Amino acid sequence: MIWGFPAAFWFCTLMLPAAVIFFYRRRSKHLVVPAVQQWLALGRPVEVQSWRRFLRRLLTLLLQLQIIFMLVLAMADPTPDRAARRLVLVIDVGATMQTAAANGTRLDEAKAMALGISGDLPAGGRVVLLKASHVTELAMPPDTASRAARLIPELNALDVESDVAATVLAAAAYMDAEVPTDVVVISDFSGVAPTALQSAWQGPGRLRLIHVGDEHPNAAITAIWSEQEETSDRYTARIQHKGMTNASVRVDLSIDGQRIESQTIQLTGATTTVTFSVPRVAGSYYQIAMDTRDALALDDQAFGLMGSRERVSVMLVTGGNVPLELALRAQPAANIRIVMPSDYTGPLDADVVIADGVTLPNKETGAANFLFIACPDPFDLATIAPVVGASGIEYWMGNHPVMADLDPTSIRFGEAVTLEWSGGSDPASIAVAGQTPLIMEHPLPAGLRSGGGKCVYWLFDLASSDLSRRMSFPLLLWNTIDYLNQSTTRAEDYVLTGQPLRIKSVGRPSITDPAGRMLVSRKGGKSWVVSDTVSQGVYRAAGDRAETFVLNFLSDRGVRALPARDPALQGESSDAVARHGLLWAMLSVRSLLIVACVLMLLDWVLFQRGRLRVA
Amino acid sequence: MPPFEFNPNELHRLGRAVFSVGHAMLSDAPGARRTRRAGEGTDFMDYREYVAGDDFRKVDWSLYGRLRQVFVRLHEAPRQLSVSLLVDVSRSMNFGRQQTKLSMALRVACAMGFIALRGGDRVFAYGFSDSLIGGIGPLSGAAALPKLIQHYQKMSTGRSSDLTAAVGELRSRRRCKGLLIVISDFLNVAQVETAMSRAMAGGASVLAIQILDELDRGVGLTGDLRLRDSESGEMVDIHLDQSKLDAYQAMLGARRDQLEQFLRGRGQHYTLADTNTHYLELVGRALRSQAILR
Repeated sequence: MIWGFPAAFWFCTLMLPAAVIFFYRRRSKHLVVPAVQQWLALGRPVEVQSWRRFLRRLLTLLLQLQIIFMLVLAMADPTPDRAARRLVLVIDVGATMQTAAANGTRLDEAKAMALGISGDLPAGGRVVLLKASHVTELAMPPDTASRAARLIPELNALDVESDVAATVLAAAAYMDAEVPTDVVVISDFSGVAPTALQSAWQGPGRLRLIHVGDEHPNAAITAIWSEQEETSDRYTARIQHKGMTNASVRVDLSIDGQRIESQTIQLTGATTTVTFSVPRVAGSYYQIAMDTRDALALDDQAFGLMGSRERVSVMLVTGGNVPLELALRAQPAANIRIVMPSDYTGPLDADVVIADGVTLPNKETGAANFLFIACPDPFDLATIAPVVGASGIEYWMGNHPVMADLDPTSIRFGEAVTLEWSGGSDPASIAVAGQTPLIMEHPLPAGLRSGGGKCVYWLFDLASSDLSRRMSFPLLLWNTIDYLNQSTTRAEDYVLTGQPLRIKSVGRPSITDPAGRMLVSRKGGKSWVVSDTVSQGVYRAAGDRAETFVLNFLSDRGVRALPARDPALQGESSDAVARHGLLWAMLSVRSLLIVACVLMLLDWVLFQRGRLRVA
Repeated sequence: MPPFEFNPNELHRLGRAVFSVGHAMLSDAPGARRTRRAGEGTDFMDYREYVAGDDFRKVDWSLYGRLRQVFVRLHEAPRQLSVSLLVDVSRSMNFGRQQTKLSMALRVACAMGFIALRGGDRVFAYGFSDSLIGGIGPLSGAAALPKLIQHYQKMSTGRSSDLTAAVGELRSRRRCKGLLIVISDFLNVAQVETAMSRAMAGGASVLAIQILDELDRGVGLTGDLRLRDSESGEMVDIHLDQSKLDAYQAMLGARRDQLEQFLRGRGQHYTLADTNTHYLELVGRALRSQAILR
């Protein structure tokens, strides 16, 4: 326990009655009477005062106070409150810090707190300023408090989910074992519980968690998507809220900044969905925005890109498979090319090549990955073996992306193709029926293409199973395609803020953020990567072609309940060093002497005034 | 001194009182008090045989004609009573809940003075604390009452009480003869008996009036007290409970009784008064009951 307010409070509390009792016992009603001659025989004559009697009387009081002091000392187990000479300030600059607070926003409160704390640093102290956003950012290396005071007001909240825990861990790197260091975290803790941070703290210094912000009603758009139909489009947003049940909210749909349609909805339950069905309008992006005027405006809107986007280029090598073709075309965001086996000359620019029951005539891999349906690969990884019977999938890798969102137990397979793998092959079974693998995968031989690749084998005949008649078929198909192409099946028209933006362009594109600020990109594989994606809105890139990108916050942090404030976490940490030094002991004695002098003066004024004579 | 005055009713009551004193207290000055001594008064007292040297003018020739013996006429010689008022004006007299002892003492002194003035006696007024203070007199006649009152009102208080010194000075001024009325609380007065003895030796007939207050008796005092003497500044710490209060009051009573017995045993007078008592009641009842007044 750190010596501080609680122990000092108890000492003063106990000292007070001791002093009161002392003076109370010495109290006497002073009365001037005509004569005391007759009283002398009954009372105790007040003799000439002596210094020795005076001091002896007060010595008992000092002794009593000393005893109380030692008792409090023993119970408090005090430690010298060593002043931190280095301060690591972790300030949450995530999106939820934009929430309105009593004095501006939560970030404004945090900045005020930070300024106050850094201002209390002793002369010569150093401050490290870390910003907790989606990444840990060093805003200021160890420097003076005055410089921190200049930088702190310039902090701005970003449109990202902050990772306070990672920043706190990073703060440990700035601890100095030689210099007492405090790590002060100022956040609304909407993304991490303070108790979790305390428990995980292993640093040598003291961790202080300062909670800012209060609960406010808030509604947030946590998902947005679009669907294209023949002549119309549907735009949907999922809304979550807290504290706004039965509130009427106007929701606007805009395309390229022009308002197209509005709806007034009532927020019921924890989640509400609003859908706009509008005739197709040409545009590059759409925006769904709520007029709630709640505490956090950022999550009241979301953006999405218009039209289908070519996510994956699929080449189907088949002699004809209508269900398979239909299943492929179910994904409007895919570019499908159907090739006869005799016309196959290689993957070309396809991302995924599907061999439907045919052995590809050449080993060209290009940049593609492969799906072999009831056929071997052309890479000599395996050869076809006899067909065996299969019932249903009995075991599958539940966390494999190919099996995502599937219930394969209901699928009936008639026959399964078996493969004989060449030596050195190391296939992985994704789904098996008894001892018969039905879905397998194997990496492309390393020598065929640098950078590797994947092959997935559907070892069942589509015609002999009922898979093609099930809703699971396109899902399994696109799970497989997306797995091979390393993309998702969801038609997400946006990127989340904080995630890198990848732009396919030959030359370096010129990219601007929603505020028109030019962004820096770096080459990453076949794309240019922009990391500075901290603002929600529309980004425009001018590279090989003009492109529009949208980034969304789309987080439910604004509608989560804030963790309960624990006063114990506001100042102290469990990591306290106990030292009972001579200096501390001297400080205690000095305090006691000061108290004793005050009491002696009080006794002099009240009782000894004018009557003190040396014996 | 706090101002005071007598209303006419009080004066009327006081005017009917007269000091009842023995011949020994009377002075040689001619006054209004009849004595059994022959003198130059006008009232016939008795006959005496003529002896050589008697004044011929006092021979009663009518009686000679009848008895053929020469007798002289004797007349009364009325003398005057000297009343000396000695009031304790020390600090200890400045106590009293309803009225201070000093206030009462001065009223009593002035009342006594008025009685004496009205009775044709002469009055000397003094105060005493560390020593004899002030001094006015001889005052004669009822008209001197305002002067007497004014004298006491202008008198300043002293610190302590030294009756012995005051009596000594009175004797040196030859003012001790007659009736000496000492009004005090006799609490801080040292060697009271000695002082009284000296006064009696100087020819005084002493009337001691002790005035006490509730505070002097310890009434209302309880608990832890630090008592401080108003004159000497001496202090005593005492935890006062009922038993100690009773003991104190017993000691006080014993001391009072001792003084009374001393005075009465020597044919002097003593009376006790309380500040709650009206001074007229003191004058009317207490002093009459002791045949000091009639």
